Amino acid sequence: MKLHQSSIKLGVRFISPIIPSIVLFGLVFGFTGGNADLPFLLISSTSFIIFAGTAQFFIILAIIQHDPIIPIIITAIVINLRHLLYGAALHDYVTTRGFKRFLVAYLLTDEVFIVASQIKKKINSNELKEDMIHFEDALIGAGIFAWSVWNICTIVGYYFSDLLVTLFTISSDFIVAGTFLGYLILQWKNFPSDRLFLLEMIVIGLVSSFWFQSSILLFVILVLGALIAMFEQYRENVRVMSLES
Amino acid sequence: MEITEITVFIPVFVLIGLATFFMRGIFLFFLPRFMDNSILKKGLNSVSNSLLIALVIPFTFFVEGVFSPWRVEVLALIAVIPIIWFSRKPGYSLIFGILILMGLNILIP
Repeated sequence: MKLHQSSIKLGVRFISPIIPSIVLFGLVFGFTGGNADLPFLLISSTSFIIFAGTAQFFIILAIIQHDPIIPIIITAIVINLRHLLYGAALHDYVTTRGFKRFLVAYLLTDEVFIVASQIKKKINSNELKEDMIHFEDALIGAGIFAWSVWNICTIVGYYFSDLLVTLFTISSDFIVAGTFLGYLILQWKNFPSDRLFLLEMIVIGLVSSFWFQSSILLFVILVLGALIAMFEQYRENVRVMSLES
Repeated sequence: MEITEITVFIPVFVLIGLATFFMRGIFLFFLPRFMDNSILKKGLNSVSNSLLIALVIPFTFFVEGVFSPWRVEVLALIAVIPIIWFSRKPGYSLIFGILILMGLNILIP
């Protein structure tokens, strides 16, 4: 498997702004397990086997509460359903075959998907030259960096939980919103054509939050967003067809 | 006790890990022909924007499902907007957000 160093570096550069959030969540995750006296291998193995933060949190909290295994498996899978959309959205861009594609699939978290979307947009707006970048290598670079930080911070959080108590005065909700707000503002600023859709989604996000919570809410917003975008494209297609006829 | 927990849960983690890998990879590897059209593509291209909204709006304005806009956390995030707008650095939002929040917590006890 040949990896292109410049593309790996590009991926690392693109994911760097998200790393502080991964550090904080990794520490909190390790702390949660350590504080509940769960075995170290149990905590760290979720990070390198599953590598999906939200699902991992749910699994560990469910184990702490002695929940039955089958509902844990089903809920974890439902939480991760949104990843189906990520793979489909990147299908046309990840063209390589073999092990690289497996690696991209393993590393495709929310954060890596955001990085992939940023790189895609830079390529589409000619800020990055497509022939100079190996898209998969950039995703692998971003993914391996995120994976390493997440796993290291899980271990640090587990063993040094007592020292980390001061960190937890900041709510995890604030860390999530703070991490991705920057991307949302730049999306609004740099892509005026997306503003109407973003506005529609803000309203949908607010309204949906009254009925749904956590990862189910995330999934609902992604599906509603896709349906709205598809409806707009359908209307556009009908308009073009009526103009042609 | 530790050994029992580990031997029970590691296979569970492997199962969930495989399911997650499958969900991430299935359409990355095979996109059915019926999904290869402009309408569906538009829907899939919207996922990144929807994800940003899903990660910002509920986590900013809701606490455990309750609408709570009048908090210092919301104020801190609003104060971050001009910083990002002019600096164009998305990574600043968390760092400056935490700094502003700490400042507000001192000013508003």
